[in-house]
Amino acid sequence: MSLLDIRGLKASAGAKEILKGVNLTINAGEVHAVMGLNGSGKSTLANVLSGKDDYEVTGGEVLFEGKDLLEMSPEERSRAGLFMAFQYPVELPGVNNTYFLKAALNAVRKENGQEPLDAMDFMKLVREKLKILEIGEDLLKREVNVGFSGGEKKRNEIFQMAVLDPRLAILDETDSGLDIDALRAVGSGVTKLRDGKRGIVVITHYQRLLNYIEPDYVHVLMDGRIVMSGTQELALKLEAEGYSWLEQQVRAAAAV
Amino acid sequence: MSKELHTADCPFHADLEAFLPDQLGEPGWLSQLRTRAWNAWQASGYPVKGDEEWLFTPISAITETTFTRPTTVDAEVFHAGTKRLALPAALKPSVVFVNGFALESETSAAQFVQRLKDYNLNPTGLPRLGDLVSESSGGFAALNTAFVEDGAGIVLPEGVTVAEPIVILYANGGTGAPFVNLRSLLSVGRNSSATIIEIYTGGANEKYFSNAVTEVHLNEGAQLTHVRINLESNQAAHIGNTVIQMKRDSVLSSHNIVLGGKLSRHDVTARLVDSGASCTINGIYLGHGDQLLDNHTAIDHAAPHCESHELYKGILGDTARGVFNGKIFVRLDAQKTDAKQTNQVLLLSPDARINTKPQLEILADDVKCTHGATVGQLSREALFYLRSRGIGVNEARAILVQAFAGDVLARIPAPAVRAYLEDLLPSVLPHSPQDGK
Ligand SMILES: Nc1ncnc2c1ncn2[C@@H]1O[C@H](COP(=O)(O)OP(=O)(O)O)[C@@H](O)[C@H]1O
Ligand SMILES: [Mg+2]
Repeated sequence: MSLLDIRGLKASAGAKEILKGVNLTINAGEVHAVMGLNGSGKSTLANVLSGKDDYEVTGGEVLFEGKDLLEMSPEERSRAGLFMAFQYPVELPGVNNTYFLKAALNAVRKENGQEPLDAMDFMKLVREKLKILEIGEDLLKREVNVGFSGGEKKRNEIFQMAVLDPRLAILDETDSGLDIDALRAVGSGVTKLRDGKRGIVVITHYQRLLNYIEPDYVHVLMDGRIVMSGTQELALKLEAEGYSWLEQQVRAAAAV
Repeated sequence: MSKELHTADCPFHADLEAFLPDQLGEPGWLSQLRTRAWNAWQASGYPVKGDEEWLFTPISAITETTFTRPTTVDAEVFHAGTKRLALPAALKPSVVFVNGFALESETSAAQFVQRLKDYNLNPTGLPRLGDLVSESSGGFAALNTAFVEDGAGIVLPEGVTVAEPIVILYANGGTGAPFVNLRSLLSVGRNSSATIIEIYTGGANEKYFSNAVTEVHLNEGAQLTHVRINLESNQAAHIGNTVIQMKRDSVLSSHNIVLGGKLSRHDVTARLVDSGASCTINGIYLGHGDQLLDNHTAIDHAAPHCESHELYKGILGDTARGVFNGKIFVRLDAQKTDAKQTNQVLLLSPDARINTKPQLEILADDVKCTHGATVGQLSREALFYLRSRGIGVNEARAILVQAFAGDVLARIPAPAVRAYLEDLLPSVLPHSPQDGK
């Protein structure tokens, strides 16, 4: 059974159809990159998978480890092992980062029939993850994402991912807006979480993050459909030549 | 205006005179105070339709009930209230009143804490009952003055620091829908400092009317942290008047936590009568069901170089109503006043309502005065973000609501009280409608 199986997924926001039939299968341990120009529907795909109710699913199905993902609430999806690193992480004024993480982790543990971690074990786990990701402990004392720089927000997402230890992580443009040092930090962070079992989907419209995280497969999303799949070479070609050759090819195919 | 309006409407009004205490054996000054207050009440009566101060606050919870005069002191009332409060040992009350009468078994001899019943008649130099609450203004404060028989008197002399919080507990309720009058007289001497907590409570669903007055004197350089917690019964009517007088360089940190009452109205008035005084008056009001929670604040800057900071936050669910009215007067002499007022409200349900109104009257010309009000809902984005991390929808809401209220609690300088309220609040947070999956 595959980890994630997206079949003919269609979704719209208001009257606008954004996803027009997406097919994508991800197996445990695989790293997939989804590339595409701005506005092609990448974040919509990520948001629909995480259960954001701004979108209406109008067709297709999504199975997560064989279960109907679209029937689950956002919290159920998370507890089942799906993690979304958002393109625009939300600021939570007044909510302490440690408190937030602990509530999240214990919700996931409860789902798996585990006892909640006590304060000491929790701090031990959290410090260990911070160390692996080379993130300073001051992050723990801050309010969730409040006053964080772009890079700090993205690293906080990766940190949450490390603590929650999901089966499938989807990273939506975790690389955008980062300077080269932040990019390296995020890239190496994700690489450390690549353990041969976890599925990872890296959404990006640049190739540069893929220098750090070499994907097994690369897919191109265009106007709500995956129009081409390949390997790292496809990403390099898009980087070198842009998307117009592919757009022409797709248009030509549609014309016949 | 027709003063008789509510007299006729109010079933227990006709009997009100019977609530007047037996004045035999009472010191003369008290009898006189009582009589003046009673006359003032008869002249003013209940707020009538169109009264600006009561525009959004119908008092039918008071006028449509026949209340009775409590006679016995029932310890059960105390137990019902304390069960809901779950006070930690650090906040054990120094003095407990049940329906306005002292519960001897729960009252220990604490320094500086006395009962108004025993309060010295007319000592020179000490504040007298009624010094700050002028009976001539009538209304519920006059009603209280006419009927008061006992209460808490906390009078700190010059130059003392009381480190531990002094807790006054007023537990109300029991059979027969009692009408109770509660009174505190707090006075902090020159350069003294203290933390005083007043708690008003009752069993969860009991019907009664508690009418409270607190007078607070801050002498030169005095510092007071005052926390007022209203966890009255959800069926009770609570009317509170707190009047504070601040002398030169005194500092007040006042925190008003309103959780209980079917109708809860609190008027807090601070008079900054000498220069250099600084007051913080904050509040949280949490309403659910059909509660009506009304907070009126009035800050009277009567002297130069004083500052006032005000932050009230309301959280209203179900069909709860909130009222906030913030008056700031800056008198002609009160140059260099720095006054700031903020009211922020979170509506958790489409049927919850708030009426919020700042009222600034500024006569001095060299002052800094700001005010602002915001009304909003829980952020959908924030809720989704929490849920996307596995946190269930109810817990996610609770986290966001606590975060909203949290910064008011964080400003309470007494750690034991702050910690207590941080624990108490989540258990009384208003619900909001579920949004399905
Ligand atoms: N909630 C929404 N409401 C309306 N239009 C939306 C919404 N989300 C996305 N869109 C539109 O759908 C298209 C795809 O957006 P998005 O998924 O964010 O693309 P990408 O992440 O690939 O840049 C864009 O035209 C965008 O404006
Ligand atoms: Mg996007």
